[in-house]
Formats: sequence, structure tokens, C-alpha cells
Amino acid sequence: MTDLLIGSCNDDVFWTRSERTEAQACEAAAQLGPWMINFIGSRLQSVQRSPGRVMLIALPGPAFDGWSYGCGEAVPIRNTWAHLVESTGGWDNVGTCIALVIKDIVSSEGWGANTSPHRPPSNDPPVDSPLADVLSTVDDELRLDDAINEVKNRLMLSEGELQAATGLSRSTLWRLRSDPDSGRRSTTEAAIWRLHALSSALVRVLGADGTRHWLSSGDPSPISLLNSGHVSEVERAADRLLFPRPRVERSFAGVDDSDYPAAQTAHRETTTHVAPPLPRRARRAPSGEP
Amino acid sequence: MATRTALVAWLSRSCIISCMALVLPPASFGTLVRSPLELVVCQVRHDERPVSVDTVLAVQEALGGSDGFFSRIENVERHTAALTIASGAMGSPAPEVVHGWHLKSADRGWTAALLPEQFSLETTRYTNWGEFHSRLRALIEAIEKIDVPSLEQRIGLRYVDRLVGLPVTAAVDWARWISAPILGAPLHDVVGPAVRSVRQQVEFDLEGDTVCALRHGLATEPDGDAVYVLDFDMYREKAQRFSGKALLGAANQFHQQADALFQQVITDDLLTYLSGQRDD
Repeated sequence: MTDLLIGSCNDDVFWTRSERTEAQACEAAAQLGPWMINFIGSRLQSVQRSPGRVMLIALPGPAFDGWSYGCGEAVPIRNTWAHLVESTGGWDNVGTCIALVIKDIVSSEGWGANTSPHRPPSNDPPVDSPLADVLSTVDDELRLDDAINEVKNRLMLSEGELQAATGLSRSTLWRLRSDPDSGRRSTTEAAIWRLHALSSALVRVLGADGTRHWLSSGDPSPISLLNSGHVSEVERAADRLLFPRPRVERSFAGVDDSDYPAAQTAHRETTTHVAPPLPRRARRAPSGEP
Repeated sequence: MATRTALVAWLSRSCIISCMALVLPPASFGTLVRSPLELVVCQVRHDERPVSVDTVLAVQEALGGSDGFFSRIENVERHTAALTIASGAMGSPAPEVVHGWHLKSADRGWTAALLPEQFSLETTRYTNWGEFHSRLRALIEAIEKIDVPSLEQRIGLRYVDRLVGLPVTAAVDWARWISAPILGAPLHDVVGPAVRSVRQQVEFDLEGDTVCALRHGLATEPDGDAVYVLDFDMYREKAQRFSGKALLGAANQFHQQADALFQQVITDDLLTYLSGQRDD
């Protein structure tokens, strides 16, 4: 079981809850999985583990309405996720958090191999659900000490480099490793689990050797970015590998002369600089039509 | 004392954001051969009722039948799950499943959706308002004839414009294409150069009962392209007796207002470019 808790903060003040004119297009949801991973990763605050349950605590953000990622349309997210739970208070009060049971939804009929809450037409190409892949690999029993070792091994990090990448001091790391159950330090652990998730995803996609090769390539290389604590930049670079953006064909109707009303045609004829209509482009009709 | 009184009076005036319904100058542009329109959708929400197979078949028949424009029928389900956490207790009720139907054009570029609490028309292959309006009219008239709702609760018309492929290497470069007051942060002398992405939402009160929620912003896509999204959501939220004629009139009004607002939000340079009068 994996839960995602999203703190409410005060976003309602700045992002009004106006209802949206919703779209239905399946292609609009093609980026839902990667977007959701991004969404979770960028707002992850802490991870709490208990037998049979992993709880991710994340901050909310206006990106919940995130049309600006990928192909740009996240209306199905709005339809499904934004309606999940209401947030009515501050972060400190657990009872006012938005909560999403990720794994329940992933394994439910409405998610799974279909990133749209609407069942896609059967002859549409299947849409990958990296979220399901990732969550299927979540090991509830993984100990923090083992996770640290995996991170160091996969990302070729020395103890000092791990400290730099996580922002944790040597003593903090030692304390976490030596006594992981002594009190709640979930926020402190989050940096480690963040790296662990990144390394797991990289190894899953690139393999161990491929990951090492990728880490040391480029300038600045991802490994140098990690060493300087720029985990976000490494995540962004990895994002392009992990979630290659499917080429969504932008299918717009071509514009031909029959599309123009008579008056408009006359206008066009007097405009000598008008470029010939490009194929597969839509047009915004003149005001006042029809 | 006089100063204090004046201060209180000033605060009273300045702390209340008042807005007047805006009457926009009409759009002056014609055909945009490089239109950035990516999605157009008109959605009507109404009182809830199940959508039967007979209803969807009748609507399809009214729109030209299985050999007509909306030749495909697809069943859709909308899953909504909720989890509430309160005082440490966690509950996860069963997901709610709403059943509905999509009528699709053969090329899948057009969708007429019939769901229990709404119907909508949307396209990723918008050509002109004339075509969109005529298809919307046909859909509304079919619904009025076959299974008319009692109550209109909301009507919205949404245009999503996506500007991409323009010579933009830094956020501030959008100043050439997007009106400066709309663009905002990238123009800041100090922090502007550090802007990586922007997402803003502006709500406008427009003439009539129209509200426009403009969601806009810039970002860099994973493939490195700079993109600016202008998402105009024109809507009216007022429960009233369902009237097809009123809905079509509202849609017409929204269309004109969206065009007018679009022109206010972009620069003349962009309009010239989109009109095809200049290559960049």
C-alpha cells in the first residue's frame, strides 16, 4: 500500500477553485503518468514506512492543474484527482491534508495501463503507466541502511558525495543508519529515499552499466551535479530518459479557400504578404462568425 | 487626526479589489494561418440523469447516424475515488464510477461527450468558428429533442493556444510575443533572468455574466522547446432553465470575447506572425 499525502498549505488563496471547462480527449492524458511522477517527486517532503504501508508526504501546488507539462493538457487529472479530497486547513493538521491512495488507483480499473480515467478506444496504442511500474517495485520492507547502500552503489557515490547529494551531515547519516526506528525523522530520510527512487528508476531503464555510463557523461555530468547537491537538475535530466515524451501528432485540419467566407477571401487577396496556408494548422475564425 | 482619517479612507478604498464587467474592443484580426489553437471545447453542465444506450443512439442518429460525422460510439467510465483523513482515521470509500458515452468522428479529432451531468463538444482539429458552432448547434438541438435537461448549471467555452517554435531562448524573450503586463515576472530587472517557468491564473469579469479564467505561462518542454500556453476558459455559471437558444447565444458571445481577449494578451508582433505576414 502506498499513500500520498498532500499538504494543503494556502494555495486556495492564490489558486481559486473555479471549475474548469473540461476536455475529454484521451490524447490529453498521454502525459499523465510522467507528470504524476514529476508532481510527486518535486513535492515530496517525507517518506514514512510501516509494515505494509509506504506513506509519501508531499506539498501541493498549482501544477495540480498542470497543463504546462508535456502535451499540455491535464484535464483528466483535474477530473479525477482534484476531486478526490478537499483540503480545508493547514499542513500541521493531518486531518486537513489531501490524501490520495496511489496504489489503489494504479491497480484500479481506471488507471493501470490506461493513464486516462476514461477508457481509451481499444484500437488506440496502449499508454504506458510508469507510475504503476515504479510502485510495483516499491519494497515496503526495504531498510534505510540497505537503501543507502543501494544509492551509493548505483550512483557511484562515496560517503562524502552522498552527504553532499542529500545535504545530510555525516553524523545524521550515521544516526539514521544505526537506529532507523528511533523516533520520526521522516523529513530527514526523504532526501535519501528521493535518491533511491531516482537510482531505481535509472537502473530499471538503463541497467546498472548504462546508469554508470550516463552518470559520468556530459558536462556537467550528472555525477558532478549530484556531488554538488543539485539533485533536482539530475532528476530533470533523468526525466528525459525515463519518460521520453511520446510524439503526439498535432492533427489540425488544413486550411483551404473554401474555409474562408467571401469577405475574408477578398481581404486575403489584397494582402500581398500573406504566406500560403500551412498544412495541418487550425485557424482562429474572425469574430462575428457565423 | 485629519491625516489618520485620510489614511483610513485610503485604506478602505485600496483594500477592496473592485472590478467592473469589461467590455472589450472587438478583435480586429481575421484568419490566422499559423493559429496556435490546440484544443477547443464547449461544455454544458446540467442536472444529473443517466445516459441510456437508447439516448446515445438517438443523438447519433440525429447527428447523421453511424454513417455520418460522428460515426463511432464509445463507452466511457469516469472513476472518482476519495480518501479522507481525519484525526488519524483513514477511510477509502469505493470509487464512484460514472458511465457515459463519446461520439467520435472517424478521424477522432472531434468528440461529442454525453455524461450524466454534462455534455460537451470538443476538437483538436478546429478549423473555424462556423464549423464548430454548427456542430454545437446540431448537438444541442439533438439533446433538446431527445432528452432535454431541466436545468443549465454552467456553460464553458475553452480555447487552449500553444505557442511553440518561436525564437525564444530566455523567458524574457517572450516579451516580444506576449503583452508585458501579462508576461510579468520575466521582465523583472533583477529576478527576471532567473525565471525558468511561469504559471499564472487571471480571472476577468466580462460583459454579461461571462467570466474568463485565463491560465497562462511559459515552460521549456522536455525536448528543449520553449512553449507558452494561453488557456482561455470562458464560462457562465448560473443555474437557469435549459434553453438551447440561450446556450448557443452564450457560446457565440464567449467566442467573440475570447478572440478579443486573445488580442489584448498578445503583441502586435505575434499577431502579425500568426497572420502569416512575417516569418521568424
